[in-house]
Amino acid sequence: MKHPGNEEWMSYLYDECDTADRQRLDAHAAVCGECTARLAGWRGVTARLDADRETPAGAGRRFGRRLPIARWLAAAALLAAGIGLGRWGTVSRTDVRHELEEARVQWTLQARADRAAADREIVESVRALAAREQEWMEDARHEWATARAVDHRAIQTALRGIEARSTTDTVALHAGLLRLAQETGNGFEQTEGHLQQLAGYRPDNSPANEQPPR
Amino acid sequence: MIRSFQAGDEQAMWRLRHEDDAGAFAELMERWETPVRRLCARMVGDVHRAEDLSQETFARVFAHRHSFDTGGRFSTWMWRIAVNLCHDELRRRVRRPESPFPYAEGEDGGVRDDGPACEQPSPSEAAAKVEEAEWVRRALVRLPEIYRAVVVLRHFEGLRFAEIAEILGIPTGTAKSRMAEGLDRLGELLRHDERGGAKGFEP
Ligand SMILES: [Zn+2]
Repeated sequence: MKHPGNEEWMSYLYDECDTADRQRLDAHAAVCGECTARLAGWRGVTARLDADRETPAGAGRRFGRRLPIARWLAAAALLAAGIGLGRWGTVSRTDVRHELEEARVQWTLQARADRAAADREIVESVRALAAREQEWMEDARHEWATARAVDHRAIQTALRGIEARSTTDTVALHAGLLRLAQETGNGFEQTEGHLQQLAGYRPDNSPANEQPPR
Repeated sequence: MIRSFQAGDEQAMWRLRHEDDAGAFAELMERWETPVRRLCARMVGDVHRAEDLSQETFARVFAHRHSFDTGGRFSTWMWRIAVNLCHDELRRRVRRPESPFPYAEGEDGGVRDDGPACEQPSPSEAAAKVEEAEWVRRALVRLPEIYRAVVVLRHFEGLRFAEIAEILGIPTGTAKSRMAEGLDRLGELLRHDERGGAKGFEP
């Protein structure tokens, strides 16, 4: 038995052959277990492939992620104006859609230019930021220097004040100490005198070596 | 499925060529952006790259509008541009692979390489369908490119073998035999994944 080739079976499987061919292939499959099995195998695979047809990856994603939002908002605003003002008579749906699509086309063609411009903008703003930061740093440095000078003067004044006060205080303290020493000296001499008087005391009416009176 | 629009494509292309009619271009994009993006997603296995490739396709359509052969079909020309961009992308990845599994797609719902929702299988039918779809996408990105393009164009985009042959610059018979070979290999890949899946995944 001569089996139809793969090419013929593919036309059959995908319904691309004419009625005569289909009948001939049907007739062959009816009597050929080998070809029936191959056909069943292919049908099994195509049935499984259909699972991906029902849920194709990203089927719900109508537009790209990187479409410029502002442009689409402008187009959407045009659409909203058409509805809001009841001007559907003058602004046709097709016109609006063309506006939308045109915006999309322009984006597609200018995406690289836009991206480059955005990059330049970022570089410039970073540079501007750096320059401004430099200015701030200069200002801060100047302020700090000024503040330090002011502080320095204040500290000097304070130190001089402390110095002057401590000189006065030292003089006063010295005088105080001298006075205290003198007074202490005087007091000591007086006390010494008292002690000597007490040590040498003898009551006139009592005999020596006698018990003291009770 | 989109046959009734076919005449409109060539008219729009004429207006684009001769009048730089943005509306005509918008019409073509409106009609074809989704199918092209879908093709790219299945070819490169990454929905984000598919968006870029689809936009690149239309940028090229616009840029090369004057070199479009008015005797031909717009869609054939457009599919050829898209398929070539996908091939370039895949070749670029082979030269400079970005990850051990270049088709794996990180976060939000793209093709993953570690199997579908393997950690917690859901008993619901919907979850099973999503899982099955992921197995299919996984098998597709592992199918050699020469088969992948034919399978995607014939099975998913519903193109006839003659048009696929024209897009790929191969004889119609070759397109058909590649389809048969592609289906056989997909069958093997799907069975292999199942065997791998039955053992469970390593984290
Ligand atoms: Zn047979």
